[in-house]
Amino acid sequence: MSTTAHDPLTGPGPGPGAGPALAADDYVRRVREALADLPPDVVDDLVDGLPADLAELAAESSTPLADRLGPPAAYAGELRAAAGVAASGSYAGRPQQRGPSWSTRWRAMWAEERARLRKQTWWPAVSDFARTVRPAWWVARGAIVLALVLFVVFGVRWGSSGAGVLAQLVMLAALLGAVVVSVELGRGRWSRLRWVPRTVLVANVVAVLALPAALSWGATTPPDDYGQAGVSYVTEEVPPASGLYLDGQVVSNLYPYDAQGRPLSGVQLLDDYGRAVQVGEDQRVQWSSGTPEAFRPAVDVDGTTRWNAYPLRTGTGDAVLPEDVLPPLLVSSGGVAVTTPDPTASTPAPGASTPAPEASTPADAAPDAPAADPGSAAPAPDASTGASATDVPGADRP
Amino acid sequence: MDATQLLKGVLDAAVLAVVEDEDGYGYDVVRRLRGAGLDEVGDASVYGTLRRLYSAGALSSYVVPSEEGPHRKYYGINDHGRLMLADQRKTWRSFSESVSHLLEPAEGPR
Repeated sequence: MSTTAHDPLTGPGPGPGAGPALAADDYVRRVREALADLPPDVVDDLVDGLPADLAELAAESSTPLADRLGPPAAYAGELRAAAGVAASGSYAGRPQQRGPSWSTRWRAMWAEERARLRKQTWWPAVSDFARTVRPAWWVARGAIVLALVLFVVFGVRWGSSGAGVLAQLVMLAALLGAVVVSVELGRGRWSRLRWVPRTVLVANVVAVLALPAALSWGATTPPDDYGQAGVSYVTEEVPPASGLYLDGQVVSNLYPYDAQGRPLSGVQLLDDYGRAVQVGEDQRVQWSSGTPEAFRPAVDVDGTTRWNAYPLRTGTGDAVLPEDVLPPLLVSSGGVAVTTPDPTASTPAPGASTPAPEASTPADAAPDAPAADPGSAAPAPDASTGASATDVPGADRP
Repeated sequence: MDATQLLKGVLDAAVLAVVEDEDGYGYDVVRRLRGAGLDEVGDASVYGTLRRLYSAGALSSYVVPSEEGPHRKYYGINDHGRLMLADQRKTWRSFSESVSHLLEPAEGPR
Protein backbone atom coordinates (compact mmCIF):
# COMPACT_ATOMS: atom_id res chain seq x y z
CA MET A 1 0.00 0.00 0.00
CA SER A 2 2.83 2.38 0.71
CA THR A 3 4.50 3.98 -2.28
CA THR A 4 7.20 6.49 -2.58
CA ALA A 5 5.47 8.50 -5.28
CA HIS A 6 4.66 11.96 -4.13
CA ASP A 7 1.30 13.45 -4.62
CA PRO A 8 1.34 15.10 -8.04
CA LEU A 9 -1.24 17.64 -6.98
CA THR A 10 0.64 19.57 -4.39
CA GLY A 11 4.25 18.50 -4.45
CA PRO A 12 6.42 16.69 -1.93
CA GLY A 13 5.31 18.46 1.23
CA PRO A 14 7.35 18.95 4.44
CA GLY A 15 10.17 16.57 5.21
CA PRO A 16 10.27 14.14 8.12
CA GLY A 17 12.08 16.58 10.36
CA ALA A 18 9.17 19.02 10.44
CA GLY A 19 7.50 17.82 13.61
CA PRO A 20 4.74 15.21 13.74
CA ALA A 21 1.84 17.60 14.28
CA LEU A 22 2.90 19.70 11.33
CA ALA A 23 3.34 16.68 9.12
CA ALA A 24 -0.03 15.36 10.16
CA ASP A 25 -1.76 18.67 9.51
CA ASP A 26 -0.20 18.89 6.14
CA TYR A 27 -1.26 15.38 5.22
CA VAL A 28 -4.80 16.00 6.36
CA ARG A 29 -4.89 19.17 4.37
CA ARG A 30 -4.04 17.26 1.27
CA VAL A 31 -6.59 14.59 2.02
CA ARG A 32 -9.18 17.31 2.31
CA GLU A 33 -8.17 18.66 -1.02
CA ALA A 34 -8.68 15.24 -2.55
CA LEU A 35 -12.18 15.24 -1.10
CA ALA A 36 -12.99 18.72 -2.31
CA ASP A 37 -15.81 17.50 -4.48
CA LEU A 38 -17.83 16.63 -1.40
CA PRO A 39 -19.88 19.06 0.67
CA PRO A 40 -17.70 20.75 3.31
CA ASP A 41 -19.54 19.34 6.31
CA VAL A 42 -19.17 15.84 4.88
CA VAL A 43 -15.47 16.41 4.52
CA ASP A 44 -15.32 17.68 8.08
CA ASP A 45 -17.12 14.59 9.23
CA LEU A 46 -14.80 12.26 7.39
CA VAL A 47 -11.67 13.95 8.57
CA ASP A 48 -12.75 14.62 12.13
CA GLY A 49 -10.11 13.60 14.65
CA LEU A 50 -7.65 12.66 11.92
CA PRO A 51 -4.99 15.28 12.71
CA ALA A 52 -4.52 14.04 16.24
CA ASP A 53 -4.33 10.41 15.19
CA LEU A 54 -1.94 11.04 12.34
CA ALA A 55 0.23 13.15 14.64
CA GLU A 56 0.50 10.18 16.96
CA LEU A 57 1.32 7.95 14.01
CA ALA A 58 3.92 10.39 12.75
CA ALA A 59 5.53 10.66 16.16
CA GLU A 60 6.14 6.93 16.24
CA SER A 61 8.77 6.90 13.55
CA SER A 62 10.64 9.20 11.26
CA THR A 63 9.29 7.68 8.09
CA PRO A 64 7.21 10.30 6.34
CA LEU A 65 3.46 9.85 6.55
CA ALA A 66 3.13 9.62 2.82
CA ASP A 67 5.38 6.59 2.84
CA ARG A 68 3.51 4.88 5.60
CA LEU A 69 -0.02 5.71 4.55
CA GLY A 70 0.37 6.16 0.85
CA PRO A 71 -0.36 9.32 -1.05
CA PRO A 72 -3.08 11.49 0.43
CA ALA A 73 -5.24 11.08 -2.62
CA ALA A 74 -5.22 7.33 -2.31
CA TYR A 75 -5.91 7.66 1.39
CA ALA A 76 -8.83 9.90 0.63
CA GLY A 77 -10.18 7.42 -1.87
CA GLU A 78 -9.97 4.53 0.52
CA LEU A 79 -11.49 6.64 3.27
CA ARG A 80 -14.51 7.68 1.33
CA ALA A 81 -15.00 4.19 -0.04
CA ALA A 82 -14.95 2.62 3.37
CA ALA A 83 -17.21 5.35 4.70
CA GLY A 84 -19.79 4.54 2.06
CA VAL A 85 -19.78 7.94 0.44
CA ALA A 86 -21.21 7.64 -3.03
CA ALA A 87 -19.34 9.24 -5.89
CA SER A 88 -21.98 11.91 -6.10
CA GLY A 89 -21.24 12.93 -2.57
CA SER A 90 -24.45 11.84 -0.93
CA TYR A 91 -23.68 10.83 2.56
CA ALA A 92 -26.09 9.96 5.29
CA GLY A 93 -24.35 11.84 8.03
CA ARG A 94 -25.58 11.98 11.60
CA PRO A 95 -25.48 15.02 13.82
CA GLN A 96 -22.69 14.61 16.23
CA GLN A 97 -23.11 14.70 19.95
CA ARG A 98 -21.73 17.98 21.09
CA GLY A 99 -20.54 18.72 24.57
CA PRO A 100 -19.45 15.62 26.37
CA SER A 101 -21.56 14.80 29.36
CA TRP A 102 -20.05 13.72 32.61
CA SER A 103 -20.24 10.05 31.74
CA THR A 104 -18.68 10.48 28.32
CA ARG A 105 -15.91 12.52 29.84
CA TRP A 106 -15.29 9.68 32.20
CA ARG A 107 -15.33 7.18 29.37
CA ALA A 108 -12.94 9.39 27.44
CA MET A 109 -10.46 9.54 30.31
CA TRP A 110 -10.64 5.82 30.76
CA ALA A 111 -10.24 5.14 27.05
CA GLU A 112 -7.28 7.54 26.84
CA GLU A 113 -5.53 5.72 29.63
CA ARG A 114 -6.14 2.35 28.07
CA ALA A 115 -4.93 3.60 24.70
CA ARG A 116 -1.79 4.91 26.28
CA LEU A 117 -1.19 1.57 27.98
CA ARG A 118 -1.64 -0.24 24.73
CA LYS A 119 1.22 1.72 23.26
CA GLN A 120 3.67 0.23 25.71
CA THR A 121 5.77 -2.64 24.51
CA TRP A 122 5.06 -4.72 27.56
CA TRP A 123 1.34 -4.40 27.18
CA PRO A 124 0.61 -7.46 25.01
CA ALA A 125 2.27 -9.87 27.43
CA VAL A 126 0.61 -8.39 30.49
CA SER A 127 -2.70 -8.15 28.74
CA ASP A 128 -2.51 -11.79 27.65
CA PHE A 129 -1.77 -12.86 31.19
CA ALA A 130 -4.61 -10.80 32.57
CA ARG A 131 -6.95 -12.26 30.01
CA THR A 132 -6.01 -15.79 31.06
CA VAL A 133 -6.49 -15.02 34.73
CA ARG A 134 -9.78 -13.27 34.16
CA PRO A 135 -12.01 -16.31 34.82
CA ALA A 136 -10.52 -16.66 38.28
CA TRP A 137 -11.54 -13.08 38.93
CA TRP A 138 -15.07 -13.88 37.78
CA VAL A 139 -15.30 -16.67 40.33
CA ALA A 140 -13.89 -14.53 43.13
CA ARG A 141 -16.16 -11.66 42.19
CA GLY A 142 -19.23 -13.87 42.44
CA ALA A 143 -18.24 -15.09 45.89
CA ILE A 144 -17.43 -11.62 47.19
CA VAL A 145 -20.62 -10.07 45.92
CA LEU A 146 -22.66 -12.90 47.41
CA ALA A 147 -20.93 -12.53 50.78
CA LEU A 148 -21.58 -8.80 50.70
CA VAL A 149 -25.23 -9.26 49.83
CA LEU A 150 -25.66 -11.82 52.59
CA PHE A 151 -24.03 -9.49 55.06
CA VAL A 152 -25.87 -6.34 54.11
CA VAL A 153 -29.30 -7.78 53.46
CA PHE A 154 -29.49 -10.62 55.92
CA GLY A 155 -26.86 -9.72 58.45
CA VAL A 156 -25.27 -13.11 57.94
CA ARG A 157 -21.53 -13.37 57.97
CA TRP A 158 -20.00 -15.85 55.62
CA GLY A 159 -18.92 -18.98 57.42
CA SER A 160 -20.58 -18.01 60.68
CA SER A 161 -21.35 -20.79 63.07
CA GLY A 162 -24.76 -21.58 64.40
CA ALA A 163 -26.14 -22.43 60.99
CA GLY A 164 -27.80 -25.77 60.51
CA VAL A 165 -26.93 -28.19 57.76
CA LEU A 166 -29.84 -27.01 55.64
CA ALA A 167 -28.74 -23.39 55.88
CA GLN A 168 -25.22 -24.34 54.89
CA LEU A 169 -26.48 -26.23 51.87
CA VAL A 170 -28.55 -23.24 50.86
CA MET A 171 -25.52 -21.01 51.21
CA LEU A 172 -23.45 -23.38 49.12
CA ALA A 173 -26.10 -23.42 46.41
CA ALA A 174 -26.26 -19.63 46.50
CA LEU A 175 -22.50 -19.48 46.14
CA LEU A 176 -22.55 -21.75 43.10
CA GLY A 177 -25.33 -19.68 41.60
CA ALA A 178 -23.48 -16.43 42.18
CA VAL A 179 -20.31 -17.83 40.63
CA VAL A 180 -22.18 -19.07 37.57
CA VAL A 181 -23.86 -15.68 37.12
CA SER A 182 -20.56 -13.91 37.47
CA VAL A 183 -18.83 -16.16 34.95
CA GLU A 184 -21.63 -15.84 32.44
CA LEU A 185 -21.55 -12.08 32.78
CA GLY A 186 -17.83 -12.20 32.22
CA ARG A 187 -18.40 -14.18 29.06
CA GLY A 188 -20.69 -11.50 27.77
CA ARG A 189 -24.10 -13.05 28.15
CA TRP A 190 -27.01 -10.69 28.76
CA SER A 191 -24.84 -7.77 27.69
CA ARG A 192 -27.58 -6.67 25.34
CA LEU A 193 -29.76 -5.52 28.16
CA ARG A 194 -29.42 -1.85 28.78
CA TRP A 195 -28.66 -1.94 32.43
CA VAL A 196 -26.33 -4.94 32.46
CA PRO A 197 -22.96 -3.37 31.54
CA ARG A 198 -23.34 -0.56 34.03
CA THR A 199 -24.45 -2.91 36.77
CA VAL A 200 -21.51 -5.16 36.09
CA LEU A 201 -19.17 -2.20 36.28
CA VAL A 202 -20.61 -1.19 39.64
CA ALA A 203 -20.37 -4.76 40.88
CA ASN A 204 -16.75 -4.93 39.78
CA VAL A 205 -15.86 -1.76 41.63
CA VAL A 206 -17.69 -2.90 44.76
CA ALA A 207 -16.07 -6.31 44.64
CA VAL A 208 -12.60 -4.83 44.27
CA LEU A 209 -13.20 -2.47 47.19
CA ALA A 210 -14.57 -5.28 49.32
CA LEU A 211 -11.70 -7.60 48.50
CA PRO A 212 -9.53 -6.73 51.52
CA ALA A 213 -12.47 -7.08 53.87
CA ALA A 214 -13.42 -10.39 52.33
CA LEU A 215 -9.89 -11.70 52.69
CA SER A 216 -9.79 -10.77 56.37
CA TRP A 217 -13.17 -12.43 56.95
CA GLY A 218 -11.81 -15.67 55.64
CA ALA A 219 -8.95 -15.53 58.10
CA THR A 220 -10.81 -14.97 61.34
CA THR A 221 -13.73 -16.66 63.02
CA PRO A 222 -16.77 -14.63 63.87
CA PRO A 223 -17.62 -15.00 67.55
CA ASP A 224 -19.86 -17.89 68.46
CA ASP A 225 -23.35 -17.08 69.54
CA TYR A 226 -23.46 -17.51 73.27
CA GLY A 227 -24.94 -20.84 74.20
CA GLN A 228 -25.34 -22.13 70.66
CA ALA A 229 -23.42 -25.10 69.45
CA GLY A 230 -22.49 -24.52 65.85
CA VAL A 231 -20.15 -25.69 63.18
CA SER A 232 -17.30 -23.34 62.56
CA TYR A 233 -15.42 -23.53 59.25
CA VAL A 234 -12.21 -22.06 60.56
CA THR A 235 -9.99 -22.57 63.54
CA GLU A 236 -11.29 -22.21 67.05
CA GLU A 237 -11.01 -18.95 68.81
CA VAL A 238 -8.05 -18.61 71.08
CA PRO A 239 -9.22 -17.24 74.41
CA PRO A 240 -8.11 -13.70 74.98
CA ALA A 241 -5.45 -12.95 77.53
CA SER A 242 -7.73 -11.51 80.20
CA GLY A 243 -10.26 -13.29 82.32
CA LEU A 244 -10.60 -16.84 83.56
CA TYR A 245 -11.02 -19.71 81.17
CA LEU A 246 -11.17 -23.39 81.78
CA ASP A 247 -10.81 -25.69 78.78
CA GLY A 248 -11.92 -22.92 76.50
CA GLN A 249 -14.97 -22.01 78.50
CA VAL A 250 -15.43 -18.77 80.33
CA VAL A 251 -15.36 -18.97 84.12
CA SER A 252 -17.42 -16.38 85.90
CA ASN A 253 -17.39 -17.65 89.42
CA LEU A 254 -15.43 -20.03 91.64
CA TYR A 255 -16.81 -22.07 94.50
CA PRO A 256 -14.24 -23.10 97.06
CA TYR A 257 -14.86 -26.05 99.36
CA ASP A 258 -12.68 -27.03 102.25
CA ALA A 259 -11.12 -30.41 102.84
CA GLN A 260 -14.25 -31.60 104.60
CA GLY A 261 -16.28 -30.76 101.55
CA ARG A 262 -18.02 -27.79 103.12
CA PRO A 263 -18.50 -24.66 101.06
CA LEU A 264 -16.35 -21.71 101.97
CA SER A 265 -16.85 -18.05 101.45
CA GLY A 266 -14.56 -15.10 101.27
CA VAL A 267 -11.73 -17.20 99.86
CA GLN A 268 -9.10 -14.95 98.37
CA LEU A 269 -7.12 -16.53 95.58
CA LEU A 270 -3.73 -15.72 94.17
CA ASP A 271 -1.99 -17.43 91.31
CA ASP A 272 1.61 -18.66 91.22
CA TYR A 273 2.80 -15.18 90.29
CA GLY A 274 0.99 -13.64 93.21
CA ARG A 275 -1.65 -12.08 91.00
CA ALA A 276 -5.24 -11.93 92.11
CA VAL A 277 -7.21 -14.62 90.33
CA GLN A 278 -10.00 -12.54 88.91
CA VAL A 279 -12.89 -13.25 86.63
CA GLY A 280 -12.66 -11.23 83.45
CA GLU A 281 -14.31 -7.84 83.53
CA ASP A 282 -16.91 -8.77 80.95
CA GLN A 283 -17.78 -11.95 82.74
CA ARG A 284 -18.77 -10.69 86.16
CA VAL A 285 -22.37 -11.61 85.62
CA GLN A 286 -24.33 -14.51 87.02
CA TRP A 287 -26.37 -16.42 84.46
CA SER A 288 -27.53 -19.41 86.41
CA SER A 289 -30.71 -17.86 87.72
CA GLY A 290 -32.04 -17.17 84.25
CA THR A 291 -31.85 -13.41 84.34
CA PRO A 292 -28.34 -12.05 84.35
CA GLU A 293 -27.29 -10.36 87.56
CA ALA A 294 -24.07 -8.52 88.01
CA PHE A 295 -21.72 -9.60 90.75
CA ARG A 296 -20.65 -7.23 93.50
CA PRO A 297 -17.05 -7.25 94.57
CA ALA A 298 -15.90 -7.59 98.13
CA VAL A 299 -14.10 -4.72 99.86
CA ASP A 300 -11.15 -5.23 102.17
CA VAL A 301 -10.24 -3.26 105.28
CA ASP A 302 -8.14 -0.90 103.22
CA GLY A 303 -11.14 -0.06 101.15
CA THR A 304 -9.77 -1.79 98.09
CA THR A 305 -12.24 -3.52 95.83
CA ARG A 306 -11.50 -7.22 95.61
CA TRP A 307 -12.62 -9.37 92.78
CA ASN A 308 -10.61 -12.39 93.82
CA ALA A 309 -12.76 -13.31 96.86
CA TYR A 310 -14.89 -16.31 96.01
CA PRO A 311 -17.62 -17.14 95.57
CA LEU A 312 -18.71 -13.88 93.96
CA ARG A 313 -22.10 -12.68 95.08
CA THR A 314 -24.75 -10.71 93.30
CA GLY A 315 -25.86 -8.73 96.30
CA THR A 316 -29.36 -10.23 96.29
CA GLY A 317 -28.36 -13.09 98.55
CA ASP A 318 -25.96 -15.91 98.92
CA ALA A 319 -24.29 -17.47 95.98
CA VAL A 320 -26.15 -20.39 94.46
CA LEU A 321 -23.79 -23.26 95.15
CA PRO A 322 -23.40 -25.91 92.52
CA GLU A 323 -23.10 -28.48 95.33
CA ASP A 324 -24.14 -28.26 98.97
CA VAL A 325 -21.22 -30.39 100.09
CA LEU A 326 -18.49 -32.29 98.40
CA PRO A 327 -17.05 -35.58 99.50
CA PRO A 328 -14.40 -34.89 102.13
CA LEU A 329 -10.78 -35.39 101.25
CA LEU A 330 -8.59 -37.84 103.06
CA VAL A 331 -6.49 -35.92 105.54
CA SER A 332 -3.22 -37.23 106.95
CA SER A 333 -1.81 -36.40 110.37
CA GLY A 334 0.07 -33.47 108.92
CA GLY A 335 -3.20 -31.78 108.12
CA VAL A 336 -2.64 -31.98 104.38
CA ALA A 337 -5.00 -33.92 102.18
CA VAL A 338 -3.26 -36.79 100.43
CA THR A 339 -4.17 -38.99 97.55
CA THR A 340 -4.73 -42.67 98.02
CA PRO A 341 -2.46 -44.92 95.99
CA ASP A 342 -5.12 -47.63 95.96
CA PRO A 343 -7.06 -47.31 92.75
CA THR A 344 -10.03 -49.34 93.98
CA ALA A 345 -10.72 -47.09 96.91
CA SER A 346 -11.16 -43.92 94.91
CA THR A 347 -13.48 -43.29 92.04
CA PRO A 348 -13.10 -40.35 89.74
CA ALA A 349 -16.29 -38.34 89.83
CA PRO A 350 -17.91 -37.96 86.43
CA GLY A 351 -17.07 -34.57 85.10
CA ALA A 352 -14.05 -34.21 87.37
CA SER A 353 -10.85 -33.16 85.76
CA THR A 354 -8.50 -36.11 86.35
CA PRO A 355 -8.95 -39.84 86.97
CA ALA A 356 -7.49 -41.34 90.14
CA PRO A 357 -4.37 -43.11 88.77
CA GLU A 358 -3.23 -39.97 87.10
CA ALA A 359 -3.69 -38.01 90.28
CA SER A 360 -0.98 -39.97 92.07
CA THR A 361 1.71 -38.68 89.76
CA PRO A 362 4.09 -36.55 91.78
CA ALA A 363 5.04 -33.00 90.86
CA ASP A 364 2.06 -32.71 88.66
CA ALA A 365 0.41 -29.35 88.82
CA ALA A 366 -2.98 -30.69 87.80
CA PRO A 367 -5.36 -30.67 90.75
CA ASP A 368 -6.76 -34.05 91.74
CA ALA A 369 -10.17 -35.01 92.99
CA PRO A 370 -10.12 -38.44 94.66
CA ALA A 371 -13.33 -39.53 96.32
CA ALA A 372 -13.26 -41.43 99.58
CA ASP A 373 -16.24 -43.65 98.87
CA PRO A 374 -16.88 -44.82 95.37
CA GLY A 375 -20.61 -44.72 95.88
CA SER A 376 -21.00 -41.04 96.35
CA ALA A 377 -19.48 -39.95 93.10
CA ALA A 378 -21.41 -36.75 92.94
CA PRO A 379 -21.21 -34.64 89.79
CA ALA A 380 -18.75 -31.86 90.45
CA PRO A 381 -18.88 -28.39 88.98
CA ASP A 382 -16.65 -27.57 86.10
CA ALA A 383 -14.18 -25.81 88.33
CA SER A 384 -12.05 -28.30 90.21
CA THR A 385 -11.94 -28.29 93.94
CA GLY A 386 -8.25 -28.45 94.59
CA ALA A 387 -7.94 -24.92 95.89
CA SER A 388 -6.32 -24.59 99.25
CA ALA A 389 -8.49 -22.87 101.78
CA THR A 390 -6.87 -20.14 103.71
CA ASP A 391 -7.08 -22.13 106.96
CA VAL A 392 -5.22 -25.17 105.62
CA PRO A 393 -1.57 -24.43 105.19
CA GLY A 394 0.36 -25.71 102.23
CA ALA A 395 -0.68 -26.36 98.72
CA ASP A 396 -2.64 -29.47 97.97
CA ARG A 397 -0.12 -30.94 95.64
CA PRO A 398 1.27 -34.43 95.77
CA MET B 1 -6.72 -16.20 -1.57
CA ASP B 2 -6.38 -12.45 -1.26
CA ALA B 3 -6.46 -11.49 2.36
CA THR B 4 -7.49 -7.93 1.54
CA GLN B 5 -10.65 -9.13 -0.12
CA LEU B 6 -11.46 -11.38 2.80
CA LEU B 7 -10.82 -8.54 5.17
CA LYS B 8 -13.26 -6.26 3.42
CA GLY B 9 -16.04 -8.66 4.22
CA VAL B 10 -15.35 -8.87 7.93
CA LEU B 11 -13.99 -5.42 8.69
CA ASP B 12 -17.31 -4.20 10.03
CA ALA B 13 -17.55 -7.03 12.49
CA ALA B 14 -13.90 -6.70 13.47
CA VAL B 15 -14.20 -2.98 14.11
CA LEU B 16 -17.40 -3.44 16.08
CA ALA B 17 -15.80 -6.13 18.18
CA VAL B 18 -12.77 -3.99 18.95
CA VAL B 19 -14.92 -1.02 19.93
CA GLU B 20 -17.23 -3.22 21.97
CA ASP B 21 -14.28 -4.38 24.01
CA GLU B 22 -13.20 -0.83 24.75
CA ASP B 23 -13.99 2.60 23.39
CA GLY B 24 -11.28 3.82 21.07
CA TYR B 25 -10.16 6.47 18.66
CA GLY B 26 -9.25 5.76 15.05
CA TYR B 27 -5.61 4.94 15.34
CA ASP B 28 -6.17 3.02 18.55
CA VAL B 29 -8.64 0.77 16.75
CA VAL B 30 -6.15 0.27 13.92
CA ARG B 31 -3.49 -0.68 16.41
CA ARG B 32 -5.73 -3.18 18.12
CA LEU B 33 -6.78 -4.76 14.86
CA ARG B 34 -3.17 -5.13 13.81
CA GLY B 35 -2.31 -6.47 17.23
CA ALA B 36 -4.96 -9.11 16.79
CA GLY B 37 -3.19 -10.32 13.66
CA LEU B 38 -4.83 -8.31 10.89
CA ASP B 39 -1.60 -6.76 9.65
CA GLU B 40 -3.02 -5.90 6.26
CA VAL B 41 -5.75 -3.62 7.49
CA GLY B 42 -5.42 -0.11 6.12
CA ASP B 43 -5.75 3.00 8.24
CA ALA B 44 -8.13 4.72 5.90
CA SER B 45 -10.34 1.66 5.69
CA VAL B 46 -10.69 1.55 9.43
CA TYR B 47 -11.44 5.24 9.67
CA GLY B 48 -13.99 5.00 6.93
CA THR B 49 -15.60 1.99 8.54
CA LEU B 50 -15.84 3.79 11.84
CA ARG B 51 -17.57 6.69 10.12
CA ARG B 52 -19.93 4.42 8.30
CA LEU B 53 -20.85 2.45 11.38
CA TYR B 54 -21.44 5.71 13.17
CA SER B 55 -23.74 6.92 10.40
CA ALA B 56 -25.56 3.62 10.53
CA GLY B 57 -26.21 4.22 14.20
CA ALA B 58 -24.11 1.33 15.46
CA LEU B 59 -21.55 3.48 17.23
CA SER B 60 -21.68 6.54 19.39
CA SER B 61 -18.91 9.07 19.33
CA TYR B 62 -17.56 11.80 21.51
CA VAL B 63 -14.74 14.23 21.27
CA VAL B 64 -11.97 14.56 23.80
CA PRO B 65 -10.47 18.01 23.77
CA SER B 66 -6.75 18.26 24.28
CA GLU B 67 -4.71 21.25 25.39
CA GLU B 68 -1.66 20.45 23.31
CA GLY B 69 -3.20 20.05 19.94
CA PRO B 70 -6.14 18.82 17.95
CA HIS B 71 -8.95 16.95 19.62
CA ARG B 72 -9.37 13.17 19.61
CA LYS B 73 -12.48 11.51 18.36
CA TYR B 74 -13.59 8.46 20.32
CA TYR B 75 -16.07 5.83 19.31
CA GLY B 76 -18.09 3.59 21.56
CA ILE B 77 -20.59 0.87 20.84
CA ASN B 78 -24.28 1.24 21.58
CA ASP B 79 -27.17 -1.18 21.76
CA HIS B 80 -27.84 -1.12 18.06
CA GLY B 81 -24.20 -1.88 17.43
CA ARG B 82 -24.30 -4.74 19.87
CA LEU B 83 -27.22 -6.26 18.06
CA MET B 84 -25.44 -5.89 14.75
CA LEU B 85 -22.33 -7.47 16.17
CA ALA B 86 -24.24 -10.41 17.63
CA ASP B 87 -25.79 -10.95 14.24
CA GLN B 88 -22.45 -10.82 12.49
CA ARG B 89 -20.94 -13.18 15.02
CA LYS B 90 -23.57 -15.76 14.19
CA THR B 91 -23.10 -15.27 10.47
CA TRP B 92 -19.36 -15.55 10.74
CA ARG B 93 -19.48 -18.65 12.88
CA SER B 94 -21.68 -20.59 10.50
CA PHE B 95 -19.89 -19.28 7.42
CA SER B 96 -16.41 -20.01 8.71
CA GLU B 97 -17.44 -23.46 9.89
CA SER B 98 -18.81 -24.30 6.47
CA VAL B 99 -15.73 -23.03 4.67
CA SER B 100 -13.36 -24.74 7.08
CA HIS B 101 -15.19 -27.95 6.60
CA LEU B 102 -15.10 -27.57 2.82
CA LEU B 103 -11.41 -26.82 2.82
CA GLU B 104 -10.47 -29.77 5.01
CA PRO B 105 -8.10 -32.03 3.09
CA ALA B 106 -9.91 -35.09 1.81
CA GLU B 107 -9.53 -38.05 4.13
CA GLY B 108 -8.18 -41.22 2.62
CA PRO B 109 -7.73 -42.10 -1.03
CA ARG B 110 -10.56 -41.41 -3.40
